[in-house]
Formats: sequence, C-alpha cells, structure tokens
Amino acid sequence: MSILKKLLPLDIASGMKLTGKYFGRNFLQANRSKKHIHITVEYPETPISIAPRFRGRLQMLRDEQGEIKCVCCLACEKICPTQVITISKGKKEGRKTPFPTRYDFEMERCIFCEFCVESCGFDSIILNHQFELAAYNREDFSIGMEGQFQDMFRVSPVGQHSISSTKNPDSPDYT
Amino acid sequence: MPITKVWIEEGCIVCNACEAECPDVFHVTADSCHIKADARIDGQEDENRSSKSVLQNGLQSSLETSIIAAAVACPVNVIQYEQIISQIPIEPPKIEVEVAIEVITSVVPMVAETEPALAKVQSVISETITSAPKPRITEVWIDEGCIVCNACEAECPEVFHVTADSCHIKADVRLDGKENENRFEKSKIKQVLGESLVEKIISAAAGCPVDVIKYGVFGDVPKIEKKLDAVHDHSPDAVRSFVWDIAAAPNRVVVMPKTIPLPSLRTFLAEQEAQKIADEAKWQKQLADYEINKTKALGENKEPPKAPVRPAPKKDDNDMIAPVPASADAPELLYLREKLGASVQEIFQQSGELVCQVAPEAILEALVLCKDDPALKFEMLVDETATHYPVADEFKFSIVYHLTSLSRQRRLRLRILIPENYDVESAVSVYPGANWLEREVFDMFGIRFKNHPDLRRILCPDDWEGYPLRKEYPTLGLGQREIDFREDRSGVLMRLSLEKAGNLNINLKKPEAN
Amino acid sequence: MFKNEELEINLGPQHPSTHGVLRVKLRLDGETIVKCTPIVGYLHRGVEKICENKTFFQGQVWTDRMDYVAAVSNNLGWAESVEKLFGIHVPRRAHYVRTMMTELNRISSHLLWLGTHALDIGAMTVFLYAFREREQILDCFESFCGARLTTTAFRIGGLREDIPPGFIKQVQAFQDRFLDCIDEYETLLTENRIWKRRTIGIAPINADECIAFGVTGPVLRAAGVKYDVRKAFPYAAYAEMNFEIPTRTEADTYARYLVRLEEFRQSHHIIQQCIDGLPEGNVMAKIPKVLKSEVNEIYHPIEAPKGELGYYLVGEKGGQNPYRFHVRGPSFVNLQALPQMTEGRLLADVIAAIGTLDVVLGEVDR
Ligand code: SF4
Ligand code: SF4
Repeated sequence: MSILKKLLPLDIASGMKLTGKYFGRNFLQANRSKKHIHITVEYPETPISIAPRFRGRLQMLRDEQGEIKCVCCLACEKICPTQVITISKGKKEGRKTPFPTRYDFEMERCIFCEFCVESCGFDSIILNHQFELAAYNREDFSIGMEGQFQDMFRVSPVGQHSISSTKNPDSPDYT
Repeated sequence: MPITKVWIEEGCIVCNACEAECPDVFHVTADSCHIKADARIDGQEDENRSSKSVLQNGLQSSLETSIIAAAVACPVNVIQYEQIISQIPIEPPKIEVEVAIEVITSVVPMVAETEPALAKVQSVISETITSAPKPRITEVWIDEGCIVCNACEAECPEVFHVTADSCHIKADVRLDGKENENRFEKSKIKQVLGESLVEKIISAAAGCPVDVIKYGVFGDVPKIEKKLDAVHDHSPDAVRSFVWDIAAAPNRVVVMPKTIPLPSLRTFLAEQEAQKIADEAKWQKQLADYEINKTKALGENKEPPKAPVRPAPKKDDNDMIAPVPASADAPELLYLREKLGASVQEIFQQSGELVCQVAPEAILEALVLCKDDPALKFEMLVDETATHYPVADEFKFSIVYHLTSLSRQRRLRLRILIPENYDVESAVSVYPGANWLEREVFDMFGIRFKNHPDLRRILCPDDWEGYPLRKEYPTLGLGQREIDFREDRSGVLMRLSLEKAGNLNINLKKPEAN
Repeated sequence: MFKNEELEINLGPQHPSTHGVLRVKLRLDGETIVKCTPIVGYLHRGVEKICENKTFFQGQVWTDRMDYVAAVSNNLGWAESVEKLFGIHVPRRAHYVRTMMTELNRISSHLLWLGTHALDIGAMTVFLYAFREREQILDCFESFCGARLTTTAFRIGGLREDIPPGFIKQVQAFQDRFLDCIDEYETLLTENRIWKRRTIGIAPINADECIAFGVTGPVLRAAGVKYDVRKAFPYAAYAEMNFEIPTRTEADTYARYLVRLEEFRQSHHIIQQCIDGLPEGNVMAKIPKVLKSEVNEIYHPIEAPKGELGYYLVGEKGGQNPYRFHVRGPSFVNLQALPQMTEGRLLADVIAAIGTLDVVLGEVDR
C-alpha cells in the first residue's frame, strides 16, 4: 500500500484538483455569474469603496454659516504624536471665539491615527476618505488654510476622483 | 506681579488646555474645570466662581506666568484672574547711591558729636556724590528655559554655577546669600564684583544659546554681540554633516528627570507618613492663621473671617485605582528571603506582581536558586532590561529579570540596583537566552556584564557613540542632519526645538521644485 | 586539487526570504553550516526612547509599527499594560471586542506566515489563497477602526467607539468560510511530498533548548510544552473562552506548521465564542483626560502570534509619559535560537528555519 502511495502522486494530484477547481470556476463563470466572485478590482477605472470609518487626509469643517468651526483650543496640536499640526491663534471681527489665522498640516509626517479628530471637542476636523495621497513635490504635502496650493477644506485635486461611495452596511453584498 | 485669585466663569468647554498649561492650579474633570484644592486657601475644589478664594501665598508669584498662559490658551476665555499690578514702584537705577547717602545721613546725628567726625562724614558724602560711579551689573538672573549647557559657567565661574537641572547664581556674589536662579528674588549682586565682572557676565549672557541670562545694569556697560557658532552658518560651503560627539551636539535637547521612580514598599510607606505629617502641619497652620486673623479682625471691629474647613479626601469619578505596593505574602518571596538571607534587600507585591530586590553581588546565586530549586522552578528568563536613574545617589541603574515558571505558571521579578561602572555578573551561564538581552542592555545603557560570551552592540552600529536609553542622551540633535525649512512648511517639532536651542535663523531658502 | 576551505557568506540584509532586513553571517563547509550568526539592528528606530518622550496616549501609535503584521496584538499589549500601570478597569464588552480583534489578527498574521513560508520553500499557490483570506480580515479591521495595517485599534480604557453596524455580519461571513479555507491549505500542503521532504526533521529545537533560549509561541508548543500566555496568565476575555492549546512533540518545521494550522481553528473557535457571547454595555472606562502615573513598575505579557510579547513600563509620580518603556519582542528572543537550529545542517535549511521562526524585523530591531 505504502509503495503504491509512494509511486502514485496522489497528494500532488489533490492539490492540482483544488487549483483546477478555482481556475475552472473563475474562467467559466467570472463574467457571467451574478454573484460577485472577483477578489480584485480594476481600480483606477472602477472606484473602490471604502469603509465609513476609513482614516484618510485631515480636513477642516465649516458650520452652516460657512464659519470655520475650529476655535484654536490647540488640543489637536498637543495630542498629535508626530507634531504635524501648527496653529496660529488670531481674532476675527464679529466672532467671539478665537479664530485660526493659520492651520498648517504637514501630511508627509501624518500617520493617520485620528487622535486629532478624537481630541477635538468641537468636531471641527475630520479625516476624510481620500486615500490617494501621493504627490510629485514635497510642497504638495504641506496643506494649509485657503490661499495655499492645497487647502484644508477641499479634497486635493490629485485624489478627487478616488472618493467613491462608502460601503453601505445595510446592503446585501456588504462584506 | 503676583496673581491673587483665579476663577472659572461659566461656559467652560472642558478642553483641557488650561490643565496642560498649568497643572498645579487647574484640574479638568468630566464636565468642568476646577481650581485645585491645594492651590487654594480655603481647601475646596470647585470653579471658585462664587467664593473667589485666594490662592496659596507661595504660588501667587511663582505660577504667574503659567496661569496667564492658561488664561490666554483658553479658547472661550472663561479663566479670570486678579493680579496685583505695580504694588511696588519700580526702582530707579540710582537707588544704591541714594541709599548710601541716606544711611550715612541718618547715622550723622548719633555718631557725629564732634567737628572732625562730621567733616569726615561730609567728605564721604561728597565723595560718593562727586566721583562718577563705575558702570556695573546690579543683578543677574536666569529666566526659564535653561538648557544646562554649561556655557555660562565656562565663561564666568565666579557667578554662575550649573547644576543638574538648572543654572544658579552663586551664593557668595549675592547680597541675600541664597543660591538659586534668582528669578523671582532678583537679589542684587555685590557692588565690587558687579564692577569687576562686568565684561565676563555680559559675555556669558551673550554666549547663552537660549538667551535666558538677564541682568540689570547701572551706567554705560560695554555691549558684546551675540556669538554665532558654526551651526548658524548657512553659506553653501558650510559643512553639512552628522554630529557624532554627544557633548558637542549643538542643538541637543536633554530632558533630565527630576525624580527616582523606583517602586518600593519602604519608600511608599515613608512617603505616606511624610504626607500625613505635612497635611497635619498645614492644617494646624491654617487654624493658627485663622485665630490670628480673627483676633485681629475683632480688635479692629471688623467681621471675623470664615472658619477654615478641613478638606475632605477627594473622590475620584473614574474607574482607576492606582496600584500601591503591598507587603509580600506570596510563598515564593518568603521562601527566597529565607534562602538568600541578608542579600535580599526588599520583597513586595504590586499590581499583582512579585518583586524581589537582591544585592547586586548575589544576583547569580539568586538566579541559580530560582531556576533549580524545586520549590521555585522558574525555568525561563523571559526578559532582562535596565532603567537609568540619573538623579539617584546610591545607584544609577536598576536591572530587572523577569522569570517565568512554566510548570507552576508563576512570574517573578528580580531586581538589582547598581552604581555606574559596576560590572554585573552575566546570567548567560544560567539562562542562555540572556545573551541577546544582555547585549541589548549593554548597547542601550553601557552596562557591562562579567563573563558574557559575546558582549557587543546589537541594535546600534558597532561604532555608535553614547548609550541611547540613558536619560542624558538627547532626543534631538545627535546625529541629526541640518534641515532647511521652507517658510510654509512649519515643522513644529524641529522649529520649536531649534528655536529653543538658539538656532533662530533657520528658514531659509526655498528649495527649487523641479 | 580539492581544498578544504571554509567559506563565509552573507545572507541578507536584502534577501527576500529573510522577511525584512535580517542579515545572517554563515560560515560554510561545502553546504554544511559551521557557524551561523544573525546580525540585527538594520531597522532600529528607537521605539523605546520615543515612547519615553510621548504621553501614554500617544505611545500606542509606535506599537503599531513594531510587529506590523500583528499591529492589533501590539495595541492590545500597550493598552493593557497602561491599564495595569494605572489600575483601570475596562468594561466587559470592550474586552470581548478586543479578544475578537486580536484573534482575527492572529489569523491574519499566521496567514501571512503561511503564505510567505510556503513561498520560500517553493509552494507558490498557498500564498495567493492565504492572502485572499487575509484581505477579508483586513477589511474587517478597516471597518472597525479605519485602517488596515497600522490600526491603532484600541484606546486606553477600552475602545474608541463601539463596533460599527454590520461588523458582526462581516466577521461572521469570514467565519463561515474560513474552516473550509483551512482545509484547502491542508490539501495543498499537509500531505504534499515536496513540502514534507522540506519540512520534516528540518530546523529542530527541542523543549529544553527552547526554554533555555526563552523561545515562546508556536515554536515552543511544537516542542511539546503546553504553554500559552492566554491560558497561563489570562488577560482580556481569555479567561472566559474555551479553547485548546495545540501541541506537537516532533519539534521540527513540519510540527510548527501543524501547530499553527491548529491555532487557526482555535482562533476561529474563540472568535465564534466572542460573537455569540458579546455582552451589552459601554466600551470605555471613565478615565481622566490627562493620565498621571504613580510610582509603579509592571511587566505585562500577552500572547502575540509569534510568542510572548511583554511590555515593561515604569511610571514616575505625576508623569504623563512612561519613565521607562521596554518591549520584550517574541521575534527578538526567538531569533536567538537560529544558530541552534541551523548549525551542522544544510544551507537550504536556513531559509526554512527563518520562515518557521516567523520573525518580523520591525519587532526584532524596534
Ligand atoms: S491623524 Fe494623527 S498624525 Fe495625523 S494630524 Fe491627526 S493626530 Fe497628527
Ligand atoms: S482641537 Fe478642534 S477646535 Fe481645537 S484647535 Fe484643533 S481643530 Fe481647532
């Protein structure tokens, strides 16, 4: 028996059978089946969907009146583990709370930990869903308020199209 | 100017900014910010909004800057304070001359009965007034931010004395005879020395990399330009290189610890005792103060002040119970003490862990016992590491061995305290796994192990200088390349530290983007 | 004509099979290894020094970057050791979620090991199958905490937020097909004659040597020692979990492979228990915004995928950052046993030995 086992490569054959099964299934059904069996996505053409909690680039928010929400409490500057955020505090007419005259964010050192968002008691910043953060120049990583090449309120031109729908946890094909 | 009262108006958003600026006064709870009990005279802990209790005397002027900083940092401006402004008129610079005259004239009626004596006194007075006083330094003090770089002591050892964490003005040059930074007292220095050391003090102040040496002057003193060292040279030819020598690293930032956080049952109990005594003394003093104030107020027919209340122990509203050391009752520890006798220095338990501190000479014996004794059977050494305690007097490092008994599922920590340049007996002969762990300790702390088979650096390169995990090893500055900043790339970390280290003219050229 | 000369060669630091920047200096006599010296430190970033200068909250992000394939386990160790230092009590629900995430992470770490180890030895296919499942776990991480690799998953005192809606469904979907996936790996490898030839009897290290060198984790268990920190010193919710410690006695590469495959099943079992028994309640303890430590000194071990991961923390009175932070990385200690496993054997076995030790150089060098 054991000689037979040694002679016949049954162990290899069972492995081949498994790979053959997957090959056949993908080859024959991939484009026809309704059920999603692809693992890969043709990414730049098809925008991928990401989880609602995804941690992308830092973005500042405005309230309904279009006012900057940030009140310069510097909590985010203090908690940031890599000291990415610098804020200059200033005053603006007709506004009771302080106003950030400068809010600098150096993305090249940001590690997307979301500690800043967590520490902000005013919900004035979020990490948005932008994940295509590569750029050709180092300058493009220093992000500031309006008037700079990239500002903190918009999604940067590089990665605008990457923010697609986020996954909907209620949809049936949510994995 | 001292701040007498601090209170929090309504509208606190619990942002923690104040506690970060001035933790001695503010304490941020879950829904509001409190003025701490031990900063206040009435010993309560709340916003101080209605009672407006006065701050403790000792804190009034020492915390001035940090309270103001906290008030400025508050995003909603609810921190209010009362400050005594210009209580004492600013002294004119000639004050000393005037005092001299005053003293002498007031002496005159008592001493000078006779003509010649009076004449002599008058001549002294006229001499004092007519001879043009020499320019001199009246006082020297060190502002906050000293980086203990020793530059001033090298320049002028007569006046400055650099200690482990700060720079002091020596006692024998000062009129009040104290030795500290002279930051708050602003004590004058002796006149003779002030005249003779003018140049030295000024050049020391100019040489200070962080510009914290401040001085008051009288007369025309020479000016010395601030020295610029090689780091400030931004010409393209300037050599850009790593700095390899720790001591010479120009921008190094060293934060030396101030305490010896060595967990120990003995010190814990002693601290508890001392705290109790201090509390009692404080309370007695408050009572006595109250009595004095009361009698004074009654004597002047005013309303007597409120009687002090003894502060009740604070109740914490969170899920934390700080683990405190407890005396040992684990059989392993008692057995170890019985076996090793006098070489066991201390045994205790904390956070559910067994700690046994032995004499450094006996460590090998203790390890062999732990491994082989059938009652202990700690077969595996899981971890060995060290800690640097630079401010401790009798020792400089602790080495801990974490042992695990696989068969009995128990853990034990053996600890030894060793002075600088003490060669510890290597544990490799007992636990071969200690090999790399000891190499790491050697690499990071420079502790040498006797009879170690292969004591080389392990994580750092072989030619690395300095021992990175010692507390005096800078976190910034050593081996760091000079970095040019563009204006709009405000690297806070670098910028702040370089500013602190005196390298103020960083920024410089905008790199060409291509 | 034939000279008997020993040859010294360097394996790495840029060699794909050393899984990072490990350099092994080998002295060879023909194809037999006379002396093997692992040289580490190419990835040293001074994590310990950095964490000593950061607050307890900030320190967590550096633990992500030590063992980067098992970031969640590292996070768990950090959170739990800081909690032990301060005496913080974490809600039960948070413990359950943490346990679930850590077990998912153990699976993903072992999957990466399985794929790359098989790839080193010459079995290409498993790599793709293993990464297919790993991807699904990373998706779970993404919806739990927003990142896939450097997760920063937990917070001191519990979790940042409760699990998102649909998360249990997502994990359950993985659970449902994972047992079949394990069978697929087994079909490809367990009986495969090439795989068996390359692993049975290779790189052995017996129980006594393991204990002497401080080797922990699957390597120790494959030598027959039933030691697992999850059972011996339970943390998180492991005390309430029902699982076995898989052991083998052969103490070779094949035995370690079988032990890890069995750990897949046990982890799967633990995750199922976490899903079924997930208690209600809040997920965060009440802790002050500024953590100031008392004088204390703790060592907290957890069972990372690679072995015992211990954090040693010293707290100073009123300190907002650790006075001393030390990591006992399982990879670092396990790598010490490499000469023991390879000396006197063949050069090709070194690759198998490095793979089977499952070292991650981010943790070795820190
Ligand atoms: S995500 Fe983290 S690293 Fe980035 S800015 Fe916020 S706190 Fe700093
Ligand atoms: S924490 Fe929020 S409000 Fe405070 S400075 Fe940062 S962004 Fe502004």
